[in-house]
Parts: sequence; structure tokens; C-alpha cells
Amino acid sequence: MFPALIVAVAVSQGARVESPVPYFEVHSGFWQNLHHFLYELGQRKRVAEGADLWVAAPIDHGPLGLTAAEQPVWDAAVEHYARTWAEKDALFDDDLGELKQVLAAHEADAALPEDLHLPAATRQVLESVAPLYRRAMWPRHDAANRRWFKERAPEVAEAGPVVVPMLERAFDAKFPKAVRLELVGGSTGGGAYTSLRGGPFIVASTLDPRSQDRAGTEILFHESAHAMMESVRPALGPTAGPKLWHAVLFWTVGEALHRHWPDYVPYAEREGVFTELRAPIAAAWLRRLDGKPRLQVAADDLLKRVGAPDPDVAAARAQTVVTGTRTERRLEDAVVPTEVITRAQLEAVGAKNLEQLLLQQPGVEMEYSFRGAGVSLQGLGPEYVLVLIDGERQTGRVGNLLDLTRYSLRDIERVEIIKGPAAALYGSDAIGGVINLITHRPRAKLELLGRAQGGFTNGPGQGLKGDLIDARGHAATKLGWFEGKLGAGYQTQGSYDYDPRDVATSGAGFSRWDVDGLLAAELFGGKARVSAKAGYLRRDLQAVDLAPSGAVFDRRQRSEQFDATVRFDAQPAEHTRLSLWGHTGLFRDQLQQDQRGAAFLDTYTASLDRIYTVDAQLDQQLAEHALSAGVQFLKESLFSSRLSQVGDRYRVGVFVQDEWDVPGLGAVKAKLLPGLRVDVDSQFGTAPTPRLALKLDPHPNVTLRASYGWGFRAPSFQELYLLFENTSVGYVVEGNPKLLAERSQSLNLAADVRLPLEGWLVSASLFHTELTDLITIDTSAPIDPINPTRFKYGNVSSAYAQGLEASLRMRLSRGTYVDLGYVLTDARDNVRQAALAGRAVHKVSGQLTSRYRPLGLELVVRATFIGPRPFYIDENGDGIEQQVWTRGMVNLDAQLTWHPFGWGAIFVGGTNLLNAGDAVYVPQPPRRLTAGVQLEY
Amino acid sequence: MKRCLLMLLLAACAPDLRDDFPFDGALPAGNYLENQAEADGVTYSTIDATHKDSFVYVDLDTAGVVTVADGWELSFQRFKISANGGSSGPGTVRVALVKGEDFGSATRAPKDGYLQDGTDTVFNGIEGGWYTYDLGKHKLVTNDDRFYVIDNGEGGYWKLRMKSYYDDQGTAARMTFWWAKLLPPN
Repeated sequence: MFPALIVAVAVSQGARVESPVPYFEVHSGFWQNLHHFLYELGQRKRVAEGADLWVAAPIDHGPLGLTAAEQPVWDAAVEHYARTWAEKDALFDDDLGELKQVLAAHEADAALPEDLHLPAATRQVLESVAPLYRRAMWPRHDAANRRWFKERAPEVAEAGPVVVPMLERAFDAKFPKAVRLELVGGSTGGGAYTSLRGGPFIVASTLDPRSQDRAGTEILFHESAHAMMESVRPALGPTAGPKLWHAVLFWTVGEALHRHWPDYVPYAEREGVFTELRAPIAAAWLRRLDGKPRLQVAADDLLKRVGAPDPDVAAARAQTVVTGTRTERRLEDAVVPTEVITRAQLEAVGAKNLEQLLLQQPGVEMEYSFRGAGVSLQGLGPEYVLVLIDGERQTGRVGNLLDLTRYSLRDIERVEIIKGPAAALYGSDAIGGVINLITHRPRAKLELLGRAQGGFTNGPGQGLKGDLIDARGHAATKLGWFEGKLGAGYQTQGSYDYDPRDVATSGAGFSRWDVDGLLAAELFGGKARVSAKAGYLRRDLQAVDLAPSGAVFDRRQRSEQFDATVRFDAQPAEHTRLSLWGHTGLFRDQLQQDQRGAAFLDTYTASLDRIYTVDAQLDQQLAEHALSAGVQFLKESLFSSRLSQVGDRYRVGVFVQDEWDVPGLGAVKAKLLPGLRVDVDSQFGTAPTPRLALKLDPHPNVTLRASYGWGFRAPSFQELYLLFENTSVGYVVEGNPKLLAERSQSLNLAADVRLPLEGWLVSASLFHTELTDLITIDTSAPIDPINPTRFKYGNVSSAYAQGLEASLRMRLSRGTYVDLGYVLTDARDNVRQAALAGRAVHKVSGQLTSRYRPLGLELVVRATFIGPRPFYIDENGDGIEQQVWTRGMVNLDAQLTWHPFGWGAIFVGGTNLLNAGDAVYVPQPPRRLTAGVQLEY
Repeated sequence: MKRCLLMLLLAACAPDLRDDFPFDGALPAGNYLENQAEADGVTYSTIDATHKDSFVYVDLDTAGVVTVADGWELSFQRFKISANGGSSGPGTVRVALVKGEDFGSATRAPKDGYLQDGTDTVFNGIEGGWYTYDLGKHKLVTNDDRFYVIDNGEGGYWKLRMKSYYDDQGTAARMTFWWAKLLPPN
């Protein structure tokens, strides 16, 4: 079938060897041979001196026949190789790799050139012994090379048409063509090695006793197939360990040749390589030689058989959290149940801001109004949820609502959610829970990330409107002790409208940009760190409002947020950590309402919120106790033209906490977490907030958690000092400077059961919160345009919120998960004797996440059914509000991401695909379709 | 940039919204009554009664705004409409409420039914007043089953029908109404 092998006449320097098979471009190069021979002798010298190197069994190269004058020159060359190169790996060492390329390029030259990748010393050594080698050994090596390939070529030619298709099926890749094959007489450490940089490049030792006969042919197929691992390695993933893919390669090629030559004993079997992996590979993988099952299925099966954890499961188990105790803990060990949304997850769902991300999070509800989107946890509204960035309280609540669409997620590494009381650590507002955004810290010498997307809004009954742009990027570095980061983002988004019959919009359009930066330095060899970061964000909103009177307003709002933090962390002793930090946050808001066609109702209001905090925290590990104590000074102020005076107050909070690993319970693990914080405020006085939390692991697969805690919410400056007159309607709303803080008591019980199936988790929790001294306006007095009624805030009401949350995480295959969740909420106002507005009783959520690594595809589909929600409105104008229920609605989001290379991704997706929402009660953003790219270095 | 950073530390850096989006008009300066002639001698008027404390006094003879010292028939303050007489002023103005008749076809003033303002004004107090307050929508809705006849006590009669508490741009207390001269009663 193939023409007879024609061996070129050997020239003095050697060179191209004629190859009858298309797979190889064969070389027998003088310099390559000399280099590998010296490398072998250097390695053997080092082994003789006691170094632990993997070298072939002795090879009989025959006598060198050097003269007494030549011997020292030769010995010096071997010595140079022993010292310089012998302990470097021929495959993995970059310098050796470069050197090999230089020698290949000059294989037929009489002398070597000066080259950056050819150290002068080595070049001199090679040239000094070249005449000796050419006379004494090169003819033998060159002849051995040519003889070896002459024997291999017919075997390759014969087996190739059978074996190559098998390998192509097994590895889902094309067998490479015309691979450069360098034949050398000396040892390469192993019998052969292949580098892939700049195209596959095989160096095979022709005198190595392990490489003779058909084993040599297997080596050629094996080395070529190194270039076919691009699908296999990602399919096996990061938890497969560094060797598994190579074992798969060994046993697959060996088995292919064994099938062709039934009496052939595969190399790995004969040499005892990766024998422990033979059985699982045979069971899970080798059917791939027939093309079945699919690569990922076989890879998953193999990983299971070798006991490698699912990368997702492994990553989830390694996840750390910080919010529950203000110290870093593994998620599984955290006494306070914490939910984490990682960077990978938030990229996979494609959320552009915090509102979009949390809308579909089980047990989280969004509230929409003209002030933006606020978050509810455990049936408690936005005023009872504390939002933090890196543990820092955010300022800029408007009407008690912190607008989550302000937070772009650009710089967010993960989001931690704690449901239930956390006032024992964080003080005011942490009643329903805490949402903590953890920002990214540089980890590499150079990190570059850019992301850009555009999209369309497609509201109900409206066409596609191209009105979305989101571009963001950051550059960061960690160079030794220095860390720096600079990021910026720009977003614009059109307004939307659920009721096009009138001119009013349902949601504002906006443009926003933000910049932030970080500088940090490690001191005392990493025992301390100082950092400073600052960020600025500006957002312009535009909307159209329609008043009952028919007045139309162009509403423009301009918000600015500035945050700066300076922080010092130190670890003065092994079990002691000390942190000191200061933070300031400014939030300036301008609101202009411009009446169309007139100026009578034009208004302009401005407000400026400021917060200053200084914190100190000490953590001390004492045997099984992890003690933390801290103090916080807080000053906050609000200037607003709607307030009767400038709001200003000071608070000092002190907390202590003990995380105690209760000993002596045998197999049962228990942790107890008592904590207490006391806040003393210049306006409302003292608020103690104790908490007791418990974590019990009665079985390795079962975790039980319980916590009981108090909380409080400081009255807002609006509630204290508001002066809002609506004389035309007939009322005045006044703040009440004597308000006390609202108080709460909460009980949470939770259980996690990890099912015997890997990656399956059942969780359930019960929560109950009692709120007392609730601040409300008593609006029972009739309003009267003649003598406007004065409504005043008071600590008059009480309420409770309770419910049940259940979730099931199912791992269907590697990279494919289904999450199901159900939340039952019962939240009632005790005075009004009615359900709290806007809280759905039932919420059901589902999420499908599927990743197909070999193609780099990732799909996330999220759906949430939100049951009917009660609202209160006076429909018939008799002054008594009736309860109205919205219809149930389904939020559906989907995003498909394709990672064609490690540093890039292309994504298309849509949010609110079913156009859930309405103009009056739930004016959430309508259907949006987006597509974009992300580049990352 | 340096200046911006400094400002950041003090307050903020973005320009005032009013610089970027100037309001489209200034507050009204004196033009409190706008009249528009319609068919059949009817005038359509918009009165600016937006001030919380001050009254706008109107002389129907001259169809213009006058001061309190001058002869005026009606005064407007927000939703309150007074007639110059009784508890509202020293004049002799009386007002009759006419229900169930067509405003457009009325040409002669009724013989009787005239009242002076008392504790409440005729416009605001009689038969529920000229408007109803819709608590659900927080909106004043005109009771348009009626119109008023004004007798100035000096031989002048006018019919007046309220259109709305809001002007065409939706501004509250910029009331609109139609009015026309009537023949004296037979």
C-alpha cells in the first residue's frame, strides 16, 4: 500500500528523514542528538550523585573512543549539563523547550548562532564537543534513528488506518498531521515527550530499551495523541487531578493497538504505568474507541469511578463566607446559614444589577416603586434588610428603600445572603436579613476584564426597542506585596411602560457610570495589610409621571454615591487577628419634577446622606473558642429640603461573640454561637441585640441550625423630621422626633440533608419574627381639605412575619443541576388585622443550570412563580382601603453562554421573558433580550 | 479632576439638575385670570388660585382681577369660592344654585333662590358644594349637575358653571369655568 521506505543519504549534520506516513515530518538532527545525549549523561551523573531523577534503564551507546586530550573537554560538557540542565524537565521546563526549538531550527548548520534562547555557556559547550561527538557517536545515533524509524514506519502505516479513527472517536478530536518528530539516540528521561507550544513537537529516543518494536509504534501514536487532549482535559475538569488525562491517553492508545494486534501488550501494562487506573478507565472510557458513550458521559462515569469529586461540588464545599460571623468560615462550617451567589453564577445568569440577580433567588422578594427596587427577606420589607458592601453599611435609602438597581455587580466576587436576624453583629436594620456584596481582590500579576452587551426592551404589546448598553471593565494586579485595581462601567437603559394608553412610564430609564479603585500593600511578610479603596457612581434617571389631576411631569433624578474605605488588618500572633477601618459614604440625590405645559407644579428637591463609621475588631482563637469583639462609631446625617431640620445622629455599638466548638460529643459535631451587641444612639437611646445560634451535625450528611435573636431598626430621618404638606388634598405628614427604634425578636430553624447522591441537597427552614413598636402613620382620621389633618409618625403598630422555606438541589449529571424552591410566607399587621402589603403567600422557584464543558456551553434557565400579592387601595373613594390581590405571575429568565476559548465568552439571554408585572402594583422591568461578549485575561 | 475629587470629599461632583434641565417657565407673575371668548357670549376662564393664603378677587363687570378694596363679585383661594357679601365681604352679592337646567340655554336670571355667604360659602357649602373629593384618587371632582347665578345687587346677573379644579396641565387650584351675562329676572 505504501511505497518502500526510502532512507535519505545521511549527511554529516543529519536532517530530514523521509517519511512514508502522513502523520510525521521526521528529523534526525545533529545538534538535537548531541544535546539529548549530553542531557542523558548529565542526568545519569546526577543520579549517581544521589539525585532522584527518572531516567531510562542504561542504554548501550558503545564506546566513545576519546583521546586523553579530548576526555576532559567531554567531561566538562557532561558536567555543564549535570549542573545546568539535568534536573530540569525536558517537557515542562520552558528554557529546555526553547533550547530544543533553536537546535531544531539549526539542525543542518555547522555552527550554532547566538540566540536569546541558547545560553552562551551551553552554546560553547555544544560547539566544543561537536567535533568529538561527530566522530565518535553521531554516526551511530543517526544510523540508530534511521533504522528505528524504518522499522516503525511500516507498523505505523499498517496500524494507522485502523487505530487513527479509533483515537479520533475516543478523543473527539482529529489526529494531527505532519507532526515534527525528532529522533534522538540519547534518553529523554521518558521514552519520548511531546510539547504542544508552537505546534506538536515530538522527541523520541530510539535507543531507549522501552521504545523498541511495537512499543515504539505505540509511543508514536501516544505522543501524537497528546495533541488530541483539548476536549478530554476540560471534560475531566479541575478535580480530576494532574494525571488522569495522561492515564486515559496511555490506556486508550494501548487498547487501540491491542485491538489491532491482539497479541500486543500495551506499554502501560508492560511498564507498569498507571496500572491503578486501568480498571476504571477500561470500564468507563474504552468504549469511546467505538464512539460511545458521549465524551462528557464517559468522563463523568470515569471521575465517579476514580472517586474524583464533581468540580462544582468541590468548589461549593470549598466556598467561604464571612457575613455570618464577620470572620472567614467555610460555608459548610458556618453556624449561621448563608446563601452564596458566586461570580461564576452571576455571570452565568447574566444579571446586570443586584435587582435582576435577586429577583429569582428563592426566599427573596422584590418591591418596586418609583423609588426603585427594594428587597424583602422572610416577609419583611426593604427597611428591615441591611445591604452591605464588604461589610460596610450602605447609605442612600429613599423612603426606607435602598434601590438595588444602583448596584451593577461589576466588581462583585460573590453575594452572601443571610436570612434572619444579624443585628448582634451589624446593629440597625438587620432584622429580616443581610445582603453582603463581596468585591473582587486581585490575585494575579495582571488581570484584565472587559464585558460589553447590548439589548432590547420588549414590553407587553410593544415592539423591540434597542435601548440597553452595558459596558464595564477592570484592570488589576497583585505583584508581590502590592495590589492595585481600577475599574469603570457604563450602563444605559430605556424607560418602560406597562400601560401605553397614558403618557406615564412604569419604570424610569437611566444612564449610569461608575469608577472605583483599590490600592493595598502587604506588610511584615504578609502579616499585615493596609488598603484604601474608593468608588464613585452617578446615575441619571428619566421618567414621566401622571398625577391624578391630569398633570404630567417629566421626572429627572440624579443620584451620586461616593464611598471610601481605609483598612488595616494584622495578624500579630498565629491565633489573633486585628482589624481597624474607617468608611465614609455619601449619597446625593436631586429630584426635579417638571410639569408639562406649565410651571406651577415644578419642584426641585435635593438631599444629601452621609455616613461615617470607624470600626475595630479583634478575633482571638482560644482552644475551641473563636472569640470576636468589636466596636463601631457611627455618625449619619441627612440634609433634605423635605425635612423640617437637618437629621444628625451618633451611635456607638459594641459587640462580643464566641463561636464555640462544643467538645466531647463523639461523632456529633456541635457549635454554639452566643453574641451580643449593644448600640447607644444619640436620638433613640440604647438597643441591646443578643443572639444565640447553634449548629449541630448529628450525622455527616445532616446539619441542623437554630438561631434566636433580637433586632432593631433605627427610625429614619424622614420618619423623625419629615414635613410634607399636601394642602390641596388636605393633609400634612409630620415626622416625630421622639420616635423609638422598632424592635424585633426572631427564631429561625433550619436543616440541611445531603442525600447519598453526590450534589443532592434538601434544605428546609422555618422562620418567625415579631415586630413591635412599629413606626407607622395613623391615617384613620379623615383627611379634610378645609382643615388639613396632621398625620404624625408613631411607634404604634406591631406585626409578625413567619413562614417556611424548602429547597431541593438535584445534580442530574456533571454540570447539570436543577434547583427547586418553595416559600410560604404569612406576614400580618396586628393593628390593621391584615396581611402586609406586597407579600406573596406562595412562591415557587426553579432553576436549571447546565454546563457542557467540551463545547464550552453553559445554559441557565430560572423561573419563579410568585403567587397573588395583597395591596391596599381605596377603590371606591369612601376613605376605606380595600384589599386587592394581584394575579400570580411567573418570572422567566434564560441565558446561554459560550466560552469558545479560556479568555472569552459570548452570551445571549433574556429576562422577564413572560412579561410578568403590571403598571400599578408590580412595575418590574419587562422582557429584555441581550447579547454580549466578555474578554478576560 | 482634582477639583472633582475635592468636591467629592465635601459633597458631590455632578452638576445641579436645574442647570441641565431648566424648568420650562417661571412662577406666574400677575396674570391671575385668563379669559377666552366662546360662542353665545360665554367666556371660558382660568383662574390662578394656587396661593395657599391669598385670595384672587374678580370683578365680573370688567372681567378682570381687582384688589379687595375695589368692587368685586367673587374671590378664589384654592378650592374656596366666596361671594362679596354676608360673612365673606361688605358687598351685596348673592348667589343662587341652579340644578336640573341647561347652562347653555339659560338667558335670564331666576327670580329667587339667592343666598349670601354664611359660615360656609354658597359655592362650597350648599348641596355639598361645587365639588366632591374623591378619596380613592385624591382628586377634586366637579359636581357638574349644577351652575350658579350671581346677582351683584346692582342689577348685574351672571351665570357660572365650574369646569374643573385643575387646569389643562393638571395644576390644582388653577380652576376653569364658563360664565356669561344674564338678563335680569322678569
